[in-house]
Amino acid sequence: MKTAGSAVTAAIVVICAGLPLRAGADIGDHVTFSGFGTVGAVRTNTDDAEFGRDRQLGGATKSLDFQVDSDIGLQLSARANSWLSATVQGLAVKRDDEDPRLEAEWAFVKVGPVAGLALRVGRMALPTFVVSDSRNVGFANTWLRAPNEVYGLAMLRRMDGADLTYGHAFGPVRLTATVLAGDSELRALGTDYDANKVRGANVQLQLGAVAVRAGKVISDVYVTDANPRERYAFTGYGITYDKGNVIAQAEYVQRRADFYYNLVAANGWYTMGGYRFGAFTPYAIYSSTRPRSSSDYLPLQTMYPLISYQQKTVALGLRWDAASFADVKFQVERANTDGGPGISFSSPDAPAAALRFAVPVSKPVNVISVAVDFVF
Amino acid sequence: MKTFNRLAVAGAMILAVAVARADMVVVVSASSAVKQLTKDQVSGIFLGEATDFPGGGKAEPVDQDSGAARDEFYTKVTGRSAAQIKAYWAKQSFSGKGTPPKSVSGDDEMKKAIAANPNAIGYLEKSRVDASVRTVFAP
Repeated sequence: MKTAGSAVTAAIVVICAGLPLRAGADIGDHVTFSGFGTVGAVRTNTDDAEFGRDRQLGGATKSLDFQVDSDIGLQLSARANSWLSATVQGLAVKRDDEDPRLEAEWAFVKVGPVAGLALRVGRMALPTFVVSDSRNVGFANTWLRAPNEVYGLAMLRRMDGADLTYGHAFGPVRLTATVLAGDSELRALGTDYDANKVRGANVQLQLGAVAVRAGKVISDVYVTDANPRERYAFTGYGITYDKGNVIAQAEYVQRRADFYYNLVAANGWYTMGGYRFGAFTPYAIYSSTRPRSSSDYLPLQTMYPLISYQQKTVALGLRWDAASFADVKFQVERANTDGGPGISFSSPDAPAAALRFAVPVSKPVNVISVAVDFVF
Repeated sequence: MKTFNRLAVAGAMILAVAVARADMVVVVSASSAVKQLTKDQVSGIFLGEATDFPGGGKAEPVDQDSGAARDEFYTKVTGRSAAQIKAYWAKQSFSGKGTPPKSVSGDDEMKKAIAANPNAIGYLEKSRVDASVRTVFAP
């Protein structure tokens, strides 16, 4: 298993080394080929559990791991005229299985006949976070990795459906509002379920250096014939500040369910700050997540593991803009799960699939990561 | 004394070139209906936030290839460095939100591209402005 994954990682590195590093390549007048990638290595100070991101199964231990952060995305954009375009993006990354997999991450047709209005139909990311859309594009983000306490909470990340976006500037304030509908699927405790009737909305306001956003995504998840419409809800609020050399960002998210409230409900938040010194941007992130329980719902915690547990992380990192098409990042962090399974840790060898993310981590874990991001 | 004079003249010439390079203006075609734009309006068009001019009509921004002129334009109009603009467009294009403007190489190519298209908007050195283009913003 690990060898196959390493082979894919090595292939990614070889492909990247051979590709011409320009900002996208035009194929004729209407088609552009572009891509992005990250080569990253992670190591922790424990073998008790494996450290990953975004609910990856398995990851870094005292042995160096290249699959947590490495990825490669290839994108083809076609533009028929000023109001009709199509985009397909294939992304090879380790997802919730043990090995990296290539999937179509985006595949949509975009129609924008009226100024300020755009309709997309196809496969697209759900706007669950401030950087949902570009979470996998290392080059587009200051941090080496989005904090798992927030970004690891989402159980729905992508859907097949449609979204409608309206954008307009009201004087110095820019408003962007999106509504969406579609279908998806989610994995909980090792089993996949259909997430039907995914719907949501996202609103962003931008004024000068400050942008605020609020969004909600809900879905009726088909759990069993007896519970065919389990309500999953994910709400997120975010604020970003980017002026001169100062960057700051904070998000607060809530994940909820109905019948399975006491297994699913959790909150998460983080604050991040950074300062640009020329080509170097040091940054710091504090993140925290905590499950919630309510006596209004059945206490299921004695029967099943929770989807995620409490965890706090302090991270310090540095981004170096080494070239116009690439950056290098270092990040050190300490994750404290208070003796529980946390949210960043898993064990592929757990006795049952449902227990893979329920392995206790007895002591705080130190993680050290390095990554090179590039675009072409 | 002679060496000092030579150095002073050389220094003044370098400074003169540097100062002359700094006079960059934003222009549209002479056949465009657009008369004047604010810094925020120009920034919105070049960052893909606005696809039309404030008074109406499609806006088609034209960039210059990587270099001093481009960096200066983005710093003066958007406040962002070349690396930040690159990261911004990576975020936009890899989430299907938009693509960066087409780019041409140098002031001459820019003037030709602008003059030929009533929807185009671009930037070039102030001294290159002639009857085929109109200045709509001077930083």
